[in-house]
Amino acid sequence: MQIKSLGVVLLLIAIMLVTGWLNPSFLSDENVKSIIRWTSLFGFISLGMALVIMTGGIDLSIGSVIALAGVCMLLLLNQQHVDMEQSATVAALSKVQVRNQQLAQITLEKATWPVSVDDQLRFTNAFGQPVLGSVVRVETVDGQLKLTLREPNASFPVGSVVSWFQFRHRPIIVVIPIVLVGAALLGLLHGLLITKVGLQPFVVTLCGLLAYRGLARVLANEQAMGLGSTLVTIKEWINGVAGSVPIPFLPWVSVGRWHSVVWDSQSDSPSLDASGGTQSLPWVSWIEIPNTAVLLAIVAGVLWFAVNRSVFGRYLMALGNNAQAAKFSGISTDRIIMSTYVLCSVLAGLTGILLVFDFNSVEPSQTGSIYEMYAVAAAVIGGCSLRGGSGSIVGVVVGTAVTRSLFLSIAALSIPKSWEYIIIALALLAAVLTDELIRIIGNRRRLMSQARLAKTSG
Amino acid sequence: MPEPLLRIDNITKTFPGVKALSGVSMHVMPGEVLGVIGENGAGKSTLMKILAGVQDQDSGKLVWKGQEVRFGNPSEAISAGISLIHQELNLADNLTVAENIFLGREPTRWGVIQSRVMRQKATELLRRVGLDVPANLSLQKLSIAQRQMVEIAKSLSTAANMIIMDEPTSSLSVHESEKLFALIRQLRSEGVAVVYISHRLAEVADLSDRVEVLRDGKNAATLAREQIDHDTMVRAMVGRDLNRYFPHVPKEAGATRLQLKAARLFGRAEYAIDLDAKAGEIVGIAGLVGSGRTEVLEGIMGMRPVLGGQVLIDGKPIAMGDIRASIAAGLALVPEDRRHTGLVTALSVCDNLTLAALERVSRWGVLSRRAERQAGQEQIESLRIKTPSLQQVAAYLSGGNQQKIVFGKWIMRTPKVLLLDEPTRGVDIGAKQEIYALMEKLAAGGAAIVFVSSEMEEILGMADRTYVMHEGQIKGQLPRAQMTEQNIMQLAFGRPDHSPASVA
Repeated sequence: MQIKSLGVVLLLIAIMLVTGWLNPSFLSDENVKSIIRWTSLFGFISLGMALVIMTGGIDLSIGSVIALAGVCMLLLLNQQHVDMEQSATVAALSKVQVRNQQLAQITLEKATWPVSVDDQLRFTNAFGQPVLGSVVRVETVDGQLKLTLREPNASFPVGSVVSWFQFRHRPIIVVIPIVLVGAALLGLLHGLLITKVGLQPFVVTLCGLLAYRGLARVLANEQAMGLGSTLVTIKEWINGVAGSVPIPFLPWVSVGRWHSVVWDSQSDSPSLDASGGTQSLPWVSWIEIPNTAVLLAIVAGVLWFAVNRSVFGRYLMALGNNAQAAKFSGISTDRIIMSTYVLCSVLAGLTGILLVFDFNSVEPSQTGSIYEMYAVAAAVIGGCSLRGGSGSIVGVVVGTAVTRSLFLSIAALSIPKSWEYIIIALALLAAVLTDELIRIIGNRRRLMSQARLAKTSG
Repeated sequence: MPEPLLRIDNITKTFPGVKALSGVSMHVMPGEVLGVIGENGAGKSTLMKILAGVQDQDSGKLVWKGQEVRFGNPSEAISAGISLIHQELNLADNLTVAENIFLGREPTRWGVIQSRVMRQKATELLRRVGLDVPANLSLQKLSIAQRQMVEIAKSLSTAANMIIMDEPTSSLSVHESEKLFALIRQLRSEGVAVVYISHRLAEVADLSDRVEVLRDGKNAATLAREQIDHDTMVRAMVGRDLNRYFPHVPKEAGATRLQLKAARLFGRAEYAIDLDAKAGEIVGIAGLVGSGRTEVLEGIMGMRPVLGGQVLIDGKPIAMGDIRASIAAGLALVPEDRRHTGLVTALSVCDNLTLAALERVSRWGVLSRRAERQAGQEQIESLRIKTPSLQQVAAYLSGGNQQKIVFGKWIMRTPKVLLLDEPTRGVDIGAKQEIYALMEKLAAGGAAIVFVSSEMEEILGMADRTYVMHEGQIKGQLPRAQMTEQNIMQLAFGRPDHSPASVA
């Protein structure tokens, strides 16, 4: 890891500790998980932006690509709510617990019914109100159809009648690739205009920012579009948990707050002295890691390898520092530059898709708005220079975490929300100032040691 | 002896990796033209920058008009009466002549620029330097030579007692140079001291009352008026015999490796350019700055478009205007401006060395760090690149070592044809000799080498054969037997050539 990234890590830790000290609940398991979740949702665009910045360019269109991708995905899905006009009688009802979730299981008298996962059953609950429950699982047990429903409050007597709706949509497995390919084409368009026509990245992607946002609004007819209760499985996966990781000492800080922790020699662990009694604290917290964080880790890992260990990365750094020299060394700089814009747009498209699942809706004039600026901020805090040719993938991910935890700490410290942007701006300014200072001091020190070397040898 | 205008006493200046000046002393008398000569990297420019307040010396002192001075910045030097005219002129294109002359020192009243007063004063100064243009003409309408006159007028407007001119004739025609010399003589008669730095020894010999020779950042010789002649100056500059200095041994050339047929440069499309180089041959391209030499090399390489023409490598034509195709065919170019087009200075020595040959140290696009280190280490050792480590950032190496890296980058591809543009510019003497030895070695290995040089000694010392260019045209070529300074300069100045051996 470069020293530069170490600085961002320290900054992140400092923000956590200071906020945690002022408001211990900031470091609660739930809140830490939330920081990770938001970091992973915003991480993809920061990484894409970082690649573009490393070439010395910028992509202002990210936020609009997010909105357009969301709108396009929903349009392509073409959801339809169809009443199948069939009903069945309930033979048995039971409740099951699957991974912290209460689910209802009903057994129907029919052996076959063309019902499938994500379809909705309609029934009347105990208060006589119609309720929808979506199907999570369909199985046949002893010649009877057994359906698992996501509707824990389902309570209806055996023998009541359920009817059936189907949400029809195009298969998501086809829609997602189409959206991503579409985003890639937008990136390719940016790349072509920048390299082959020679337009400035700022202008090209500014046009993108306006045009794609506009297109999203036109396509959506200025209406918010929703996912409703379809694709529950994917939604759950995206908000789901991949596993837990232990974070040491977190409880001491979040609950114990150092000074109130006393070491309990019997249990060989620290304990909290509360109202005279001794309450033992675990020394690790198990923090749940969302699936999106795993996805981000994979993307970041691949990009880290590409930047640091591949020919592509070496070319990227070379052309970011000195495009002319890179070109004269036989590097096809155009192709490398174009690929970064393509990657950036694809990652924005991916973020657009994830956000639809996360928010369950797209607001064409709002979704993703000014996200490009968050991405720039994260990339710069993470050590990228807008001059190009420098930056680290690890730094950018941590930089994203810094921006996200700043937003969350503003809430945790009950600072008025109106201060958000000012605080982010100050953090960004501090980051570039520190970077510049380190650069100047480093340069001076190197020059001096070189001069000393030359004096002794000459 | 009367009091000198300026005394330079034991000045030392060190840059990262290079000791630019070590204990240099000299003096300048009022109304004297002092020639300062030396090879590139001898320390001339550094010394002049210290005099003009652009840089600060590490030790030693300057005594100006009898008082010890230390200029913190250029404006202090200017107000003391020293002005430096840079090789690249520092004028603003979008302003008028008068505005340029008085830039930053405009005559004002109540904060308003008095344009009329300024124009009048400027007109007077222009008359003094013999430049016949209206003071309110926009600078961009002026030729390079005229702009130089404006620079001199600007110096005079600051009541300079000493004017330093750094390579003033490098972009001037013969006629324009003559005008400049007349002006210098006139300034001398007016009591202004002129420090004249030039590579053109004939000019220095013509103009100077005295010549100071620098070599490797030290005083090499002081020549009085009667001692100034070409050979003495060269010997003092080089410090040894040219034969020993240049390792070149003419050899039997092999088959033709590079052929450039009927290429035409933009803006000078009336001349077709033909050029060839054989295996084992070192071919020079001489000519004045701006005569199109760099354009020819870059045209061959595909870095800049040329009109028509064809490049053949080992008899096979290659795609024109395509750098990658040229590299694949076995061409390589070490550019003149290594910091902008040769090196990626922010990357490490090793990364720079392998940059053009990454396919050798990678598989399926994945770099092997071990292979990279090994390849880098090999080049560092065989080229004797002085660097603390492979991971050192290239920006912190000296010019000579940087140049060796650019060489190494291409040697890694074992090029068939190596094009070199001013290969020893800004390189110290030691590294220079190593570069010459390297050229020899590569030629002996069967490569064809074509190099552009503005240093006459280099052309005479290294080339088996030389082309001479003049204003976008190859005026002739001279075999080694006929390569003399006089023959080359004649062609370079575009005089008709009657030598039977030359092919125009």
